[in-house]
Amino acid sequence: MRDTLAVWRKEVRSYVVGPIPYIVVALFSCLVFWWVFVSQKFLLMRQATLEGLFMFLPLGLAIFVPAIAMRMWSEEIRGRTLETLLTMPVRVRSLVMGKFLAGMTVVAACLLVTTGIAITAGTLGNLDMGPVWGGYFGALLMGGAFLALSLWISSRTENQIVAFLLGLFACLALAGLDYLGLTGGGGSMANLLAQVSITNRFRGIARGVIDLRDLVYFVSVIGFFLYLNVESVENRRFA
Amino acid sequence: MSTSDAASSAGASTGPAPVVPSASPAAPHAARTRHDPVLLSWGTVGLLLAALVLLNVALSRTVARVDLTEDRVYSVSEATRRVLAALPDTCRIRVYWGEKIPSSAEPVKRRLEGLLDEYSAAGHGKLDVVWVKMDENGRKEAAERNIRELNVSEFSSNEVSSTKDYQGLAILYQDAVEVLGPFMESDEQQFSLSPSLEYDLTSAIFKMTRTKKAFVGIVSDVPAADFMNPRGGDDKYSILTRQVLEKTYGNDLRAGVDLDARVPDDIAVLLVLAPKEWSEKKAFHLEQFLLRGGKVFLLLDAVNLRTAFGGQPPVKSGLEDWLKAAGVDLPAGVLGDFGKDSQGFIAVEEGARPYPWWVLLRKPNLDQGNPATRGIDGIPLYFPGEIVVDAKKQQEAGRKLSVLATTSESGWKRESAYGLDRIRDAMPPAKEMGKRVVMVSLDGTFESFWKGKPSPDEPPPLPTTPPATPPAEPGTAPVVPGGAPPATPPATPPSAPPAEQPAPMGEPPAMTDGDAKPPEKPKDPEKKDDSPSGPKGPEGAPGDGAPAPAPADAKPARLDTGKGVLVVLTDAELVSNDFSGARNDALGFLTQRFNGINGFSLVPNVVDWLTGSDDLLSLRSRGVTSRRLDEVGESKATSIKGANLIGPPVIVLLAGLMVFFVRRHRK
Repeated sequence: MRDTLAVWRKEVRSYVVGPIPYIVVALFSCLVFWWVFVSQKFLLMRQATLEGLFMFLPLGLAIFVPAIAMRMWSEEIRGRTLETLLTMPVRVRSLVMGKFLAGMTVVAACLLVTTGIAITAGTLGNLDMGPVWGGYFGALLMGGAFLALSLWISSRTENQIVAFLLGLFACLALAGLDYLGLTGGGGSMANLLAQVSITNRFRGIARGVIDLRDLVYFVSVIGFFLYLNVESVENRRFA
Repeated sequence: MSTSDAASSAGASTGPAPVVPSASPAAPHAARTRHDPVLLSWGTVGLLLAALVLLNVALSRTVARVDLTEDRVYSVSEATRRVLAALPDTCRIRVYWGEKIPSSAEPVKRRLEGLLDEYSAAGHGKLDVVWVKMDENGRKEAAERNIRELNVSEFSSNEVSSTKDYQGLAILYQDAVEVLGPFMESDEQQFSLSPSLEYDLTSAIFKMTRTKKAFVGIVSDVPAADFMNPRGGDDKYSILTRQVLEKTYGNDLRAGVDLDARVPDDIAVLLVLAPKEWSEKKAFHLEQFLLRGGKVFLLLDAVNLRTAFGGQPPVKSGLEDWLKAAGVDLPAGVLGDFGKDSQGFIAVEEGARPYPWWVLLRKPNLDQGNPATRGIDGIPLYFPGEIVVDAKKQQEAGRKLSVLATTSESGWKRESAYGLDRIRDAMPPAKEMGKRVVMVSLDGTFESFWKGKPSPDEPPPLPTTPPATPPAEPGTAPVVPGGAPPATPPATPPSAPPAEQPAPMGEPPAMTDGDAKPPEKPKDPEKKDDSPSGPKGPEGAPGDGAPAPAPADAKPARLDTGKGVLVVLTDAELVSNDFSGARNDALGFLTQRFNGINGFSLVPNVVDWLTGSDDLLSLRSRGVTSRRLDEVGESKATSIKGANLIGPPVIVLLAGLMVFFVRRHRK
């Protein structure tokens, strides 16, 4: 755990000194604003709910999280620092977890800048906090799932752009599975895809209901891709 | 993360650590034989994936959730769970949600999905929910099942569009089908799920699946003649009875209940229509029914068309004193409503004119917390009276008082019921206008009006034979002829009928027929029958688990206290044939003749509510709380948008700059 936290601290420090995370977060907040206030006409609709915001988050995080994760392993591989890193008396899983937590810190920062909308809704109306807590909690889980997937992809290539594009594609596919089912005409396949779709699971939590099945789903996805990440890095050790 | 950072994080000395294969943690791995790392790796991954999939599949049927919403809107109430757990057979719900319903209603759809998921889970396999695909076949099915179409308006920045599509659900149980919907309400730009959906759905399932029926009795002694609607039959309320209530209750409806005798025990709800000059005996039987746990819906009709336009005095129901003793006063006079939206219209030669003595009950003046009055609007009342309830008395008696309907703020009471045929009436002084109560509900313990007094059900004593011993109502004093009370209370059971008592309601007690016999052994009036379905009488039908029937000449024990529900409405005309408009509708669709508003929704609603089991009555008034944003002006909206657009990026950039300057300062 100490190693994990050490790796986390160092990763966060490296993020903070560079301009990329600030640009990412600022862009994210602008996009959220456009979506909520312009596209969803938040003030015109006069609904004290963050459903408009949470409707955007699967797409928004599917785009931005790969951008956060793209350099995490790719840069190490490209700069030949990974091999040296692996010789350190630090377990691979600590490295993976540390990087994962650092990425989650940036994801949390992205979500934090959207709380202005919640404050606005709460000030102007009677906001039900249940879906708000559920929505942000679900967004963290969803961001974690996207991040774990993107990290794994990043560990498979030395090219950051490739890592970003593959991560983007994979995250969008995972988020859009239920749409695929609906456009495919419905039926049992549609039901199956809806069960696997991250958006569907997120929506369940975002309405304010924390269902054990949704929690297990997200933990499964995050755990699976983190395990893949560990295996991928381990295999590089013997490559 | 650079190599030097990794070294420092691992606690090593500064500078890159030398790579010593024998000393590094990687050495033991290299020394061991690793068959095929890639194959082993994929194998493990495959196993892990399979395990996770199995775990998720295994949990797919498990419902373990926490509802964080304020109104717990995604959780069904305990009452619904009880009803669903007791389903005797499989019940199916088919949901019809039209494709043209705008996407802005998606949150409502998700709410509905969540609610039906809960129903399905609570049904433990006996409730099957299917969302019908609304293709051509789906639409055809919806039309066949008489699913209503919902008119929806959608607002965009520069236009308002309107669509119409099916929205509803059909509950199928054995051979019966019940249709509900639409269940979406729209208020300008906001859609919300109907607050009564859980109640409507659960009560529909309950009514369809219950094995033990709740009978509804109707008491109506209005004369048969209906000169305004000759085709209405021999009962002024035949349309209500035959076309509305019979449709819902079928054989569970008992019209023509006679209150000169004890109300049969299998009747759970009594609908009393326009009682007129009732005897004490009738009032007593009504009261005893109430005390046995019965539910009474009393529609009084002191002033009606005939009295108002015929110059006749208001009708006395005979229940005024009884109601007053229960804290419900009915002052003389007639209510009118001078509010613009709360007046009915009366047909005159020139057309229709507003008429304040025909009061329209609007939604804001109906109790939205009660399932019977929630969601309905524009109920006409014809010459209603005022109800003045002693709230303190209800509280002291432990009764729950609910004001179900009032006039608007422009309500006014006219002391005299004469001259109401004048179409125009001067506007009353504003200070005399206000909300007046026209409908109340009392739920709780009632005390008998005849407590301590001989029962009006008893035959009057023979005038020439004074009682040898006083009647033995322990602790009570009989009244001998002449009105003088005895000096001491009786101590022994009577061997003769009780003495005649002065009628407390200003009328002589009804004479019984000569066949009525006095009780052989009077019972403790405080003692209640322990049988599950209440006290039995010679005329009562045996209930479930009832004890062996008493001898034919034994009188059932009367109650001095008991719990019941009493609903009082000061108009019965609203459900009379006169105002059904049935003559205008060959298909039997009921419309109000003059202003087109259906006045037949309130009374069946209340009956429906009263016949619900305690489970249904205890359902929480669940609804989607209005969550609207305050309206903001243009400048404030711009400020809010500006703050949300610029604020967060500025804060983030400032944080970055701060880090930059701090690092530079440290260097």
